[in-house]
Amino acid sequence: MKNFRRLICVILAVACCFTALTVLSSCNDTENNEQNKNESIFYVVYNGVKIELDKKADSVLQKLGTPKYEDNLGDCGGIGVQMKYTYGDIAVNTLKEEDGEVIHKISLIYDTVSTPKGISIGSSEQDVRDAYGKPTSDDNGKLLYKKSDLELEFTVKDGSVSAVNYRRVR
Amino acid sequence: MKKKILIGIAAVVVLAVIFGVLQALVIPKYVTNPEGLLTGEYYAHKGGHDVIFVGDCEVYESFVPSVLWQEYGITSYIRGSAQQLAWHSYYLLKETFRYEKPKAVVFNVYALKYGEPQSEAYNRMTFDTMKWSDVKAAGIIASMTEDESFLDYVFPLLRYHSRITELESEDIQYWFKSPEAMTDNGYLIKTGVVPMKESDPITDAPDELLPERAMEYLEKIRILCEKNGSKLILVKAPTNSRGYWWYDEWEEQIADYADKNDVAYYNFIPKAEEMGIDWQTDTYDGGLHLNVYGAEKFSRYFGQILANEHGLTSHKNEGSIAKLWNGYLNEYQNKKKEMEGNSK
Repeated sequence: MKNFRRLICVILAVACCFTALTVLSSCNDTENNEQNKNESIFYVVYNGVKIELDKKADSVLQKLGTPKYEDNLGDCGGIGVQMKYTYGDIAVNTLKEEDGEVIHKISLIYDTVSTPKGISIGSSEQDVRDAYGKPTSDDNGKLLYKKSDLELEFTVKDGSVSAVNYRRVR
Repeated sequence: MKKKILIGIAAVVVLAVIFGVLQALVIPKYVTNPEGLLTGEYYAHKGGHDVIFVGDCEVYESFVPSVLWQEYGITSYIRGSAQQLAWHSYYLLKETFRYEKPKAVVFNVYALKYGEPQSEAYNRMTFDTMKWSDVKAAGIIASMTEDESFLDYVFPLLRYHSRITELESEDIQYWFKSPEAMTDNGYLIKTGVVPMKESDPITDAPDELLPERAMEYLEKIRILCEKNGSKLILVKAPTNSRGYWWYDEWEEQIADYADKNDVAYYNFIPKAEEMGIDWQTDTYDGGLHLNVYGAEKFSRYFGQILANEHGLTSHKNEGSIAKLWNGYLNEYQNKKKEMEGNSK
């Protein structure tokens, strides 16, 4: 009987640890999200409208007005319907999640649009490093700045930026 | 002392059982989203195929193994998964070669546009139902996004524990059993019809050429096929919507690669009309992918190429193979009829 009680105590202790792990895990996620919100470089201002990764798309799309192209990218793997809105010199991709349409990719198409730190297509690689500091990774001509699941990637070719993409990788 | 050891062992066993039971409950069952089950369905069919297809939805929604059997007596299986990337394809193929040596491997080239991991969700859909092996481990390591952990794949409970508050009926229904097969030898039937709207073609160049990492894995796939005596055949499915545009620059890159390495490559985009594809009736999502009617046309067209240009012969007169595959054909036709009935 005593041994059986010991066994039950051990099992209950582990069950408590599991519950604590679950609670802590969700607390950490909330903390990380709050931290990232304050330090975000993952946005661009286009025609006076702030377009930010991982934010709700509705009001942003309304302010941007009618896109030049609106492409349905389908629902690959059942994670939600993806849409691509092209506004001439910028493209915004969204993902329809349970609680609404969320911005999950922003692409600068022409050099007429800059990041908030002044980098556009055609900027030099040094300009990028001066503006954003040391990249998270520098591989195969891609300078990647990453925080949690948000990425800002500059593709560099012959010393100049040839593509600027913001991406949420989740 | 002996009693303490026994208690310890008993505690570990009980904990392991509880852990296993909880894990089985919280891992996604992919029933309402069957694209997560595609990898695992292969094991019930492993071995003896003339052709193995690898790739993303342009593969598992474009080629119909039952049609290849019905028209040409060719046996095949599609090892597809949602947004399967080049490295996913490589490791799935490496695993497949442990079970069989097909005469041909068909790889759809569109996925080569991706040079980095896209999402944990797609990694999970490729690997969660794959049997554990050194190949699976290597595939996971090659595919993980920066925020993922290998341990979460070994013990999915660590990743999915929060689902305990989001359980659905399928989690209970399939707690201790596998869902029924959702595909026809890896082909996911879609009977819906949503016509493609007219749209402007894309005239700008792509941001970049097909990335180096993807092309490295294409080369690995080529060498793997060579080592296993399988002919690699590269294809681009006939779909070409604005959302998933196949650029001329990429076409040139692949054609050049195929030419240099003596690999067959077929771009079926310009052949869509010739094979009879009608974008008003043969797509379930406005031209992004083929529905079953489009896929059957494409499969008939491609099967002829396999038979006439790559020497794949019919097994229709081979007793046990014919019996098995006529059974699959029957199941496919019944499932298609059922889905057509449900969509009315």
